[in-house]
Amino acid sequence: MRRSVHFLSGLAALPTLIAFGAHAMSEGASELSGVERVLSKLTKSDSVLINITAGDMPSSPDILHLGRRTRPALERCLADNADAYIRVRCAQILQALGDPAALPALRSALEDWDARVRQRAIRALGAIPHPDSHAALAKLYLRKDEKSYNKTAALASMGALGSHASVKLLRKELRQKPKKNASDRRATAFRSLWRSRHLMARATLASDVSYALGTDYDGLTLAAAEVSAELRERSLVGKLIPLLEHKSSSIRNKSVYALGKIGDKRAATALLKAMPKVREARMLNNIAFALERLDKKAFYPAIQKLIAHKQGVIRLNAAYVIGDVKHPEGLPYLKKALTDPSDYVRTSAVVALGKLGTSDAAAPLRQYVDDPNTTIRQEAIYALHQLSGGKERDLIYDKLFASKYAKSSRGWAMRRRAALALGRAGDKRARKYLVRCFEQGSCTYRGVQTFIEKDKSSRTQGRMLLAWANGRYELTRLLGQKQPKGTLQVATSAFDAAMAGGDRWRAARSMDLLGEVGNAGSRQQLENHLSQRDTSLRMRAAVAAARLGSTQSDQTILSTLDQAPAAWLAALARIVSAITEPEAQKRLEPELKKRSKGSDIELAMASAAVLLAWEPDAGFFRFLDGLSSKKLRERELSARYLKRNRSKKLTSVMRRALARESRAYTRDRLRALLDRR
Amino acid sequence: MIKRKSGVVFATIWLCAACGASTQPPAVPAGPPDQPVPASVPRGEVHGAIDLTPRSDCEEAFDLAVYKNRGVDLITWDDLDGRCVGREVEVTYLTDRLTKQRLLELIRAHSDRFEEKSK
Repeated sequence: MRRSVHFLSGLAALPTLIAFGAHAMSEGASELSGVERVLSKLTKSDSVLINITAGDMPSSPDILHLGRRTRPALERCLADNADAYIRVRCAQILQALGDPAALPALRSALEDWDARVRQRAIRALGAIPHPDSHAALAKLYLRKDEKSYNKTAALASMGALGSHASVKLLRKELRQKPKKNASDRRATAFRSLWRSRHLMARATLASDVSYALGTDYDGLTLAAAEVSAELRERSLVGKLIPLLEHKSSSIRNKSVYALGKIGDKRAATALLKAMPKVREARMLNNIAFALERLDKKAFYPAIQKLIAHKQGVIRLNAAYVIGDVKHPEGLPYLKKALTDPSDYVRTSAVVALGKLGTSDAAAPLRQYVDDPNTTIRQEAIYALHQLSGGKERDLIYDKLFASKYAKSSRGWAMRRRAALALGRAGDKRARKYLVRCFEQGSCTYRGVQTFIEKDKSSRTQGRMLLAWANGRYELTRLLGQKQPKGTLQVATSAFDAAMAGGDRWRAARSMDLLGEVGNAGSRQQLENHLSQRDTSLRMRAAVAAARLGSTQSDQTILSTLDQAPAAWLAALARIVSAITEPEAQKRLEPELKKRSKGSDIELAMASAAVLLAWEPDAGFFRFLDGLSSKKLRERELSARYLKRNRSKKLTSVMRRALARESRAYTRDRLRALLDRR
Repeated sequence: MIKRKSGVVFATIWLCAACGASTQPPAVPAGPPDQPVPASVPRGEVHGAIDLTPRSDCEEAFDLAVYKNRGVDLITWDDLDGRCVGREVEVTYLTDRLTKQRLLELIRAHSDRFEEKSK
């Protein structure tokens, strides 16, 4: 009983392994003396965790703040501590550290007497993937007395290894129908196989996907329909078409989506046949988009029938789809929908007209700018604004923002939406409303950002400084750009107060602002924190100081990256990416470039992510190599970092790469990443 | 009365449409993958107003078509994402691989209208 309680609390602590811990900020924070003693010995003695109890076990973040130097002690803990709960914790922390040197210890832990320890070791082996882990995982998987959940976890981890032997086993398991009352692990085997797809011939992979599409196990069919959209193999069309009538809505929709992506004209007939029978908006939209790509000539006659359908909800969605495909050919159908008896359909048609991008759509919209239905009136005005390229500000102001209805208590939503639209268009008439709306928390910073950034009023900037001091830290970058009077004083005082009060969150944000606006005094102040035990604070202090010209902090940035747990590297890379000063970038660039080519994949890709943020065009090529790597982990990390960087320049560079890419899997990956942007 | 309900309906169909909107892949190109070009290589720049053929992914379709020419270095768009007509675009190109005349032909071949402007 005691053990199971410990185990559950161990699971509850898992998210803290990902986030930076909160305990290490203050060097003098009160801790249990036993815990402190263990922490102080953790990097010096590899036996310190062998005989400790749960009460003396330091928190996971506190151990992780000490970095990779704790690995030997954690390995001994995993092998020798008598308490299964502690062994589970040590395996978790080894996973978060991500040091490949821990792999032998983790493989040995697959022999642990306790199933929960084995489960944690299985997951860790998946998170620190290496082909050599296959034999140990396969051995565990094939044991008859192994727990079912561990067998499933082992299959999932095998998918991460990048091992040909794993692929062989997974392909066998994919075709293994479970015995009666036994767990069906075919979907897990399939997903793992998909992760390892770069090791397979494309025809073999396509045949496995085709097989999975044809099974009677919905979980497996759904997984196969999902990947079909990325694989885009024409050989799958024959298997996907019958799924348009599958009982599962998810499978039907994924199949339609995949058919649209594959782009084989054979699918058009099937989609046209399915269209009149559709009973859900999502399916109708997916079919319409797929058809629009596959056979434009067939699309408009089909949609014409739907815009005249006897059910209002179908007419509404048909109008919506016409707008979203953005062809001017949709204009006559939308004009017809404007005469629909349903307000919903007319509203949908008004919105759609705004998306057509043709000036011919403006005339029919004008008649609705005074419509008694406030929804139709608003949508017509915003559609006109959109068609005019943002030139209908007066219409928004007069008919919406300053209207009697908008000023009444019932019209607050209309007024706010109008103010936000005016703000995006840089209209100063909305200033008073927008600043107040942001201060009150009724408008997000994102909503008012365009206006606030362009607003030169010193009083607005002063109010933004006040808002920052009250906790609106999303303004940090803005204050750095505008530097209203008093910013440095506020940032310095906020930093002092946060450190004195142990407010880690505020300290971090204050450091960021000091990095934006600080002076030589601030640099000195920040340099005093380069030995912070808290990894995140240490990195923020070093980054802020580096931005202010501190060469001393460069080494802290690099050594913190080198020592950091793998699970924290993405967050640390994001902090370093904030350096915008060319001089500081120039100082760090050679070392980061060196690391980006190193054998430690986690560190390499984190370093490359910083370079990508600094200069997407030059930095992208390391990721193009990564997407095509033989190592699965490198491929997956490359995709993950590319997904996180949302810059428009990177989108353009990725399109350039896709246009010139001939390697099939790299094309698939680039295509999928661009689809999500 | 209608206002709140239609908001829900629109939110739903907006999400649905997002699942469906994208393009077919262009034909697979021959040749090596994209390569970095040193900053020292001479570049030219063309800037102008452009109307793209309206479709759900007009900007991306233009980029994919124009980027096939390896003399095109970088295409940069204005902030009017999602619009096809009345856009502004800037194209930098490698002058030793592509002439300005050829670039203009390329841009016009993949758009409905292009009018060069000085920056």
